[in-house]
Amino acid sequence: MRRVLSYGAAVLLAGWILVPIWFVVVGAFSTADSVYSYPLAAWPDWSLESMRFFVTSAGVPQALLSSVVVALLTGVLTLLLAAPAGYALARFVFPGASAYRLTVLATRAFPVVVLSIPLAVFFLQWGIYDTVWGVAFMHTALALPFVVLMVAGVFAGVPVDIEEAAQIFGCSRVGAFRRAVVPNAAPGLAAAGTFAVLLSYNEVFAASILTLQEPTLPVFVLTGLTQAPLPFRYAGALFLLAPAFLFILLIRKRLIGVGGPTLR
Amino acid sequence: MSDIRLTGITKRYPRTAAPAVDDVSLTVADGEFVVLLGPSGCGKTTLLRTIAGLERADAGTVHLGDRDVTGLPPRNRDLAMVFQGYAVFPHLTVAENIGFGLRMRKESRADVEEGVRYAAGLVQLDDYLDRYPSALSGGQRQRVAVARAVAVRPSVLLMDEPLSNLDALLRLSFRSELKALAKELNTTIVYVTHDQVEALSLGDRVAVMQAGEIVQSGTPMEVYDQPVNRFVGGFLGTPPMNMLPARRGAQGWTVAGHPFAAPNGAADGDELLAGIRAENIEASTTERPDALPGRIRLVEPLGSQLLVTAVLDGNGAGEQNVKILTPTDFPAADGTEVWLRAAPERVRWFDPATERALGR
Repeated sequence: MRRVLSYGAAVLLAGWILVPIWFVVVGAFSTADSVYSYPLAAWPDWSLESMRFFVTSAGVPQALLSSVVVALLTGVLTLLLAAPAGYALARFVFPGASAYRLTVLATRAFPVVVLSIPLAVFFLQWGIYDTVWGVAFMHTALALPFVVLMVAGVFAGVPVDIEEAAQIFGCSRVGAFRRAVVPNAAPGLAAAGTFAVLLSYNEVFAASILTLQEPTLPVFVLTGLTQAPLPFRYAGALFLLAPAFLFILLIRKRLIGVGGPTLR
Repeated sequence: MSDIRLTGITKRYPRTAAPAVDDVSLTVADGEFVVLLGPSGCGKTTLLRTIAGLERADAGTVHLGDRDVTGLPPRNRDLAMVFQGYAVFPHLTVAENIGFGLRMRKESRADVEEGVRYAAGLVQLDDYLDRYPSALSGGQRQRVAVARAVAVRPSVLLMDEPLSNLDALLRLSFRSELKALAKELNTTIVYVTHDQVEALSLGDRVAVMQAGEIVQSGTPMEVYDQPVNRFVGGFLGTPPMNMLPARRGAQGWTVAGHPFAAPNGAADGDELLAGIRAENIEASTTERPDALPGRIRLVEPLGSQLLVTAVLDGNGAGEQNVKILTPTDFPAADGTEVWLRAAPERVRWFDPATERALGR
């Protein structure tokens, strides 16, 4: 009986997520005619018409490019900052380590609005308002707390003794990190970086405050949403969904282990 | 090749009352195999890591040969180490693991290959060179770790419980291999273990550590036969040395109320502990005038011997358990009366207050 209930709950939950996604897929891969017909078909007619319409719409290629650049910048910046922080959390016992861990997460207690509006003012002064850099900095700030803890988990999973062995056999501390730790942490670091990339790619609120002429894809789709024809909306939705869906499928094993060994 | 001289090494970890290593001085001769033996937490691993440079001592100096390496990082000390948890690099093949130290020294490709082949041959890894550690058993991984250490031809080789992660059978065979390897390399070796059998069987010299200090250092037979204190007598040997309270009365010394040969040293007080190894007690089922009477409580056959637990007949002085090793044909059965005696020269006397051996 318990089994039936838990399986039932699982199916319900999965359906809750998957059914809307399926309708997006159906809408995105159907001709305009079938999109407007009622009821919507349960199976797409595998036409690329909607998708073609979306990617050739004015502003979309620009926004897509911005999104990709911002997302990649965010991934790189986040990893560069999170790696040392995560390493310190994983390896060193220092006073206030657990307080630091909490503080890292507490930064996410501020609503994005509270951060975005003053930042918009600063970015205007610094001349990076409405640029990919400005948005990437903001997204890095948003991704960092989680990624720091993920990376700490990754480093904690690399045995200390191989680092010491590297030092014994000729490496400096930095050399041991590069030659013994990084190669073994690489898959985990890649997963953490991907997480930051996705977070940036799908973030809409901060990006909409920090951009005007150079919106990222979610911002562009959102601003035009009410006027846009249905096929445009379906295709746009798919474009925003697909990367997250694919990457999470690829790295889900790593995501489950997030922060595991550090959260003693 | 070089000797090791440790002087006054002290290491204290934060938030601990007692130092992990307390003013330890130790000299290891060139080519000598010294085992640091002690229970967990006695400071043996900390001492080894101080020699390696992975741990910085709060006080004291480390000399390797005529070089003072106290302040040098591990890579500049010309030593190699085998870790308890193997510590092989998972992302490198066996050959790359073994050649790691040589590559870091920027040796030529041919020299690296030659070194890898030599070291792999010593530990019979020739057929596994292209494998990754994940495809190896625990024993093979430890071979990789040993080969990686041997390949750099270090002047000092450090080993931190290299056998403790292996299963019992493998441990035994690998132990013999390590001893043969040590003989062949003829390099200076410091080996840390908590296993007294390992220590006795491998070392030219055994340094027994207790609470951050080296309490005794000597050949395996010295520390086994002439423990300097009660701790060493109890820690070495299976079963541990019997410690029988002895008393001086009007008629001389007694154990459990029965006359017993007087100690060979001068005793200050009227109470001592007679330390006797189980194999040095002679048991007999017939009464003998100079033997202590007792009753068998438990018999544990060990295959080659019987481990017998007997209770001394207290004679008003309280019960006292004694462990005895007897030949397997000894007619031991629960409740059997036995008479036990030990040759006086086989008895080691301890002062119960200081726990130190008499005459020390």
